[in-house]
Amino acid sequence: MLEDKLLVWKAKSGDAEGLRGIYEKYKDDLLSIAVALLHNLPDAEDILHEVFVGFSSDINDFQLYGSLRKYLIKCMINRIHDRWRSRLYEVREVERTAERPSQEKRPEEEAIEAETAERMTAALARLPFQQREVVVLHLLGDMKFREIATLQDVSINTAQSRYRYGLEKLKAVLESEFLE
Amino acid sequence: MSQRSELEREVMGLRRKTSPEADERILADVLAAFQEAQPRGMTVRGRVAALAAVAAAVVLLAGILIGIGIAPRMPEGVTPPMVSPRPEVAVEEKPAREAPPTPPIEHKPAATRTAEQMFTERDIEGLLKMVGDKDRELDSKLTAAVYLAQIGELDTAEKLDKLGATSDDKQLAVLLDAIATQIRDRLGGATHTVEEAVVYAGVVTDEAGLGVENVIVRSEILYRGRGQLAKHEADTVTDSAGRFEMALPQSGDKRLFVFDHPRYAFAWWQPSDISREARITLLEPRQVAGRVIDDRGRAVADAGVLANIARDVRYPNMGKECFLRAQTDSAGRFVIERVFEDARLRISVVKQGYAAFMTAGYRDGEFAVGAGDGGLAFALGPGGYIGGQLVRKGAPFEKGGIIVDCNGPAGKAWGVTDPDGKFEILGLAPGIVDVMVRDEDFARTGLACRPLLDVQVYRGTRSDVQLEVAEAVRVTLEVVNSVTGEAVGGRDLKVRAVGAGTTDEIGQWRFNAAPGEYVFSTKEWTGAGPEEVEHVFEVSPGAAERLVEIAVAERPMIRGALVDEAGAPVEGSVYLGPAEGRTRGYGIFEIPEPNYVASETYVGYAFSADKKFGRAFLWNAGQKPGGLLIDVAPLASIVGRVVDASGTPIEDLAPKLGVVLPDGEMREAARPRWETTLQGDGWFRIDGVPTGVAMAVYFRSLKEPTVLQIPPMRQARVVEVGQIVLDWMGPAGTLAEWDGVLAGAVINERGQPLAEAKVTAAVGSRMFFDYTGLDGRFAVTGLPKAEKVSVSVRAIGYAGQSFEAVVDDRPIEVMLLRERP
Repeated sequence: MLEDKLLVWKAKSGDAEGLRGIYEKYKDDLLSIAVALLHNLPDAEDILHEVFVGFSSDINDFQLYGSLRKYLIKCMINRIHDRWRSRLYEVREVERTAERPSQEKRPEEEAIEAETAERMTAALARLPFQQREVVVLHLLGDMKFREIATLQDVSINTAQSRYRYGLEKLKAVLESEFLE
Repeated sequence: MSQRSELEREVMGLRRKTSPEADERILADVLAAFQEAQPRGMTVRGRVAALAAVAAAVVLLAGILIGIGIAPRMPEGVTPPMVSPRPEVAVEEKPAREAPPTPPIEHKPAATRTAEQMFTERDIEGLLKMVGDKDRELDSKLTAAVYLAQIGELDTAEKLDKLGATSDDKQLAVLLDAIATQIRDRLGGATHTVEEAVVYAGVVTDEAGLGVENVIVRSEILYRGRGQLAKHEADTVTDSAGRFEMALPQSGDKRLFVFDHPRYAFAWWQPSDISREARITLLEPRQVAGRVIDDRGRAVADAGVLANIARDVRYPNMGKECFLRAQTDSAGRFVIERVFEDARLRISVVKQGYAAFMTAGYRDGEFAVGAGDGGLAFALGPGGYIGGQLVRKGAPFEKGGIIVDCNGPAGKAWGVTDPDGKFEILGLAPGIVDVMVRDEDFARTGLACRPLLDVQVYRGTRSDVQLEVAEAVRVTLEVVNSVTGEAVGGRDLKVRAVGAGTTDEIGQWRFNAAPGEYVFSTKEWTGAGPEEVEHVFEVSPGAAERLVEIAVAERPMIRGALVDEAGAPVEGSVYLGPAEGRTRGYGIFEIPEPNYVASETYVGYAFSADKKFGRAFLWNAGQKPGGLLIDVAPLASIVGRVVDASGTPIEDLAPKLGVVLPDGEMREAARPRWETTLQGDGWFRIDGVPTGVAMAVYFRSLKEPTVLQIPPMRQARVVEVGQIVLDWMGPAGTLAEWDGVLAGAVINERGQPLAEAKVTAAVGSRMFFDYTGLDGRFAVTGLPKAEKVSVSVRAIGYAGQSFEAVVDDRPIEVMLLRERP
């Protein structure tokens, strides 16, 4: 919270490092959510690009009330909704991401993890968009159902049931995949 | 906090990292956009100062973010942020994108070390002094402030508030506020007793970008976003630079700001949660003017005219709640002033005793009225209105701002309760409406209102109603299949005066309701097709929740299997009425039941996938339930010849194949799937005929005695039906002589020509027809002259007519009457 304030403050005082700090801090979070929602890495990167460029052009008018992370997620979701509405996205084959090898993990661990992630992303893509959105925002975006409900313009109960159905479906999809 | 399931944790682990290439690409654009956004003309000194501050803050920040602490002798649980003594470590971390001259930082360690010392010694006063010291470097202040956040006491927070309020540096003030908040958060929420004010600020300019002074800025609180309910809250005026600032108490409701200056059009701004800074441009004023009359053309005075302004690119933050008002004068004239140029509006006119009038707006996707429209004329029809009050346990329920809806043949309208719980709903036509409260805000109070059904609205008078408020009962409607008992998901349903929805995957739909009787309706299977069926259910008082199970009839499926004569499964297709289905392994198929008339028998066909085997079968509604086992046999062929009474073969006359039901009734095959070939000399051949039922070959219609019945066939074979002799039923003579014309016109009961009516003239089994044109005229040609023909005239929506006519040159005129439903 305070770090965010500092970063925003820095950016607003004309310092690009503040902005860079914000980008570095939240890019992976946002990318994870975007990929989980869109099932497509290039599109997710595009969205990330749009969100940060938009954010930096409006930085002077920007006032931080509440969580910067959630603000950025909301910006991103709005952009995804816009795109969704214009039907730019279809469920496509997920493109394998060139993950950077990290030091702590051995190659085989890494491979297994990547595989699990692919499987999970593919399974998520088979959920109806609204259910997927609730699941992703709640689990990856760390957002409360109340916040998601506002974002989706539905009641909190609807958001919660979307979450429940989403998880059930996800489970079913993963299980059926396993059987095949 | 509930435990996360494994699945949930797996989703949470779905982390991705951006690639360095993407980072590079995005950051380049982000920084370019950022540079673009920087105010021009920042002095070099300012820049250097900023950079210096920045470098220090980065150091500080790196410490906070990375979380490496030196933590020597720290007070319990407090980790000090690391201020790196070697700033180049932090500098190394950021890619050298811009290459500004790195400012000398050697002077800093002294200042920061002092702050560090104060921190380790818990010298709050010293740190505060450091923050408030005007001559200090910004970065030292920052460092001190960050330490304060970790060790400050409640009074420290207050001091920080004061410091922030008196500081000229707005950015620093924001930061100090954040630190004060952090201190309060750390010390626990109990200290947040003082209601915080929210500051809204902005600048109002004209189109040239110059600040406009003395603009009245009016803040309004909106009730649930319906504009007429805006409550005036506070006013302020802009200063000479066009700036304004308003500190207002926190509010759960939305705010709308109206900018009012007599020389300009009105402007609006609805602050979002994110932005509380406005930039408003005032535009040139325009007018919308017109006249309101009644259905006899007389002026309607004192009618309320409300202009709802469409959200505009110029005011993207303006909600749907922007209204301008006017009232008609004694001549029925109204003028809406100060609309901004090229605004689009929806105008509604309301007057007690008249039905409301409204031009196209949001719902229609198009706003009918534009700024500058001068000669508008609205005619109001006579109407009535509803007045009433909310009551609870016999006493008036005094709560304002609750929206009461009204819906029915008499119109759709709504009203709002005043603080006494009284409301009026205007603008209804005479007739019947349901009155209800569907206000979401009201629903959150845990109360609900029982809807009133079929309230009569009279012309020009008030209908009094009382809406009863009670503890809400959470009602769950569970829709199940009346046969199988399974939940029916995705089912559209309606609860009258409550709402409509779709059941979820477990067949449920929920709503809050006051105790009372409710009407549930949904489309159900009646055999003859889906029809809206109503169920009444009761919500009794007392219980907090109520589960209502409603059994609905779903369209049943007919299940069965195709087998060959040896009983082995066969894959193929089954046709019954309009439905068809394929087998899905093991010869098993499932097709929906046809729309049936009870007790009627339907003819179905089954074919193997290779079209070599098949079977015709009979199905009737009484046969269900139970599966259909259809044994397919090789398809048959029928061969025969058709001649006239003199033995001359009749060419070009194709036979038809019908089905003979057990009671002797004959049925045309609805969708024949066999092939008929004419082989010349009167010979015909029908191939691919499924066996199993009695069939009939006929030529004209099933009612005529040219039918040759074939008993049920069990075997694949060629059935020879031999020579069929047809009596020529038409008039004497040959076709060549048929050049008569039957012409005339078709009109409706008002004498107007009727287009697209079909006029058919039958000569024996031969049909001739024509459709009427726009002028209602028709001409059926190719008829035998001077002969009697049977004429039938049909048009959609009209009762048909049949009669006999003689083909001569006299035109005939046919009048069709509208069909009574």
